[in-house]
Amino acid sequence: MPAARRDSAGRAGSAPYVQQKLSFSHSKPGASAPLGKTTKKSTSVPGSRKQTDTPPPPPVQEELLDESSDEEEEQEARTPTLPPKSVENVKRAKLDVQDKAGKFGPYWTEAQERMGHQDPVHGKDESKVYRMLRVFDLSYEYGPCIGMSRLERWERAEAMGLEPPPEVREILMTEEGTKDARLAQCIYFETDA
Amino acid sequence: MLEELPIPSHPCARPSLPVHGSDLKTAFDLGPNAKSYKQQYANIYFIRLAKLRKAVEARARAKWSNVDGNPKYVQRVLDVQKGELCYIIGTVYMDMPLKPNVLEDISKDHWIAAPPPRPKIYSPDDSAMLEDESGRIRLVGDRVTRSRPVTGVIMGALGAETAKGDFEVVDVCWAGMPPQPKAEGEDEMDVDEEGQKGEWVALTSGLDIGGSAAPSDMRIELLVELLTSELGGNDSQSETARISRLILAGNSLTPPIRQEELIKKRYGYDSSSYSPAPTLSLAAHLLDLSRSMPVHLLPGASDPAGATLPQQALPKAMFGDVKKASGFSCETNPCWIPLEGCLMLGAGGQTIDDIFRYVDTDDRLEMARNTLLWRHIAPTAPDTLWCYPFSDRDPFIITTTPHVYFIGNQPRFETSIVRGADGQQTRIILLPRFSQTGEVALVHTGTLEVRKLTIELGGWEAVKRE
Repeated sequence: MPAARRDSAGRAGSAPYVQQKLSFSHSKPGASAPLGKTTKKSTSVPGSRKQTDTPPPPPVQEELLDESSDEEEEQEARTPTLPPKSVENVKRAKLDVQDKAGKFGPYWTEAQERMGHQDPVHGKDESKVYRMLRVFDLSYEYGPCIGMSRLERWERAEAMGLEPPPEVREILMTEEGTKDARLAQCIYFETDA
Repeated sequence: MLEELPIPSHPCARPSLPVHGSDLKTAFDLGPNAKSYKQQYANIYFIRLAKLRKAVEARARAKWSNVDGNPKYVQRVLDVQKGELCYIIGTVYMDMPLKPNVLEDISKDHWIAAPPPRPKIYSPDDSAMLEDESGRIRLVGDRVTRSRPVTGVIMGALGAETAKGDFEVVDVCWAGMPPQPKAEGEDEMDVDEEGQKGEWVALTSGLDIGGSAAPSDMRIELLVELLTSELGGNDSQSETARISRLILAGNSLTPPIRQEELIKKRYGYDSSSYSPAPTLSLAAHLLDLSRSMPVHLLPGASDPAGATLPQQALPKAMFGDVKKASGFSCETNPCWIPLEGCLMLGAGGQTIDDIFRYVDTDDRLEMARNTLLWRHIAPTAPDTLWCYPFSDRDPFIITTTPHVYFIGNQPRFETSIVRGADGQQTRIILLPRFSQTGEVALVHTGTLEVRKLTIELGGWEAVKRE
């Protein structure tokens, strides 16, 4: 005869293993968030149930880390000159989209020349940096822009000796330049997925 | 119970040249990260033009700078002026009406059967165009048709624009053969009786194991015994004992022939079409061979290695015990085999078969020679030859001239030596299918001499005819 099942109401002291639940009410950290934050918060369950430290929490975090390191590994395999991104807390510069400091001056003048010193017809609200990146995308010397991120295209042009503008690389290595898809990917990339 | 025969870790039966660890060995490896097919093929054409343009420009300048009329180099194809003698460099695109066009296929009626594929898509209505980043221009003149370009070749054309907007071509120029590495003098190599340094390498292709013809099995057995020097008398054994490497250039396995149409099972695999016998048979032959010499196995069109070029190496684990032998190596298709003193470049045959469809001649040696002059072994990729969408390199561009260039699975055995403008020389060998002809080519890496061995089954074939 099978042992009588203990019902959940009669639990006391040593509770049998209860499977943990994921909490969707807490805000999940993003894939590229620094390592320190994603410890046990994501799987904490509101309530006072005693929980043993069991396997479920780490795989969730490892999954998040795996996604981010996968795409970085892909990028690294294709563009070996990138600095190693294994440390999540790499400090990147902030980007000023209007470039008030004038750091990207030389390429801005070249971009203006290519556009004939005119504003784009429907793009009066575009920032300087956005326009510079668009001109970089549409410069035919560096090859087709579709299908790869701007940084990959820059690295490819550099490896082929085509001398791409260093200001564009500076922009792409800033914090906004790496995270924001509108800056990191080419203009034909669908950003609202 | 007999003990298993130990497999020597080194094929110590005869000395062979070591294979250099050079960058070229992994030139066609896609790597574990290259599984994405999201890239567009335009990248390949951009890289090809960017990398070969300088070489074509240097050669064009050397060839045409002293011509009457003082032609100058026009950077962009669309910037040519009417009537002015100039030269332009770009990628050739052949506009061929017989080339299979997917839009025409869709627009045809659904219930008309598709016509059988033609052996050649060449027609007299073909027109050549030269294209670069700015645009395209049509090339006219019989100098172009005589030079027989194919789509994807980087070409320089000297001429002038006509009133209609076409470019009348007076002379064409390719990149030419790239520089060849000089063989450094090494004293520890095996010197054979003529005093020449080098070794004899056996090349064959098209073993086609798995087809239902019994004579081909017999031929392969004889081939294995011949190469391991178990066949023949003393003098022929001493000759074949000098063969110190074997290269199988594609199509070692065939897809199994389905005898009748069986009812396809909905779930599970259809066991009538899968049989491990061909692979086991090939593995047994390779085991015998790799005990006495290093063996290189290239995949071909009928091997289970993927349909796009460059075909990746077959996994060694597929062949069982052979994977422990250090002399056995699976190569990509195409592949570089850098031996000491001799650089070999090999392909399974798909590249030349595709170029064959574009031209009106049948001279495959000429096509192979042209691929060296164009500095690109598969110019029709990705247009009509399936190819992986590379985004940062084009591995089919040749940067050094090989000493031996072999192509497998061709209709006939043909060979010649091609000499370049700067003293390069290459031995081109076209290998026929072993299952049909029984021919094996032997090439000496030092002198580039070629001999042909033929294995015939006179008695067996006589029995068959009765």
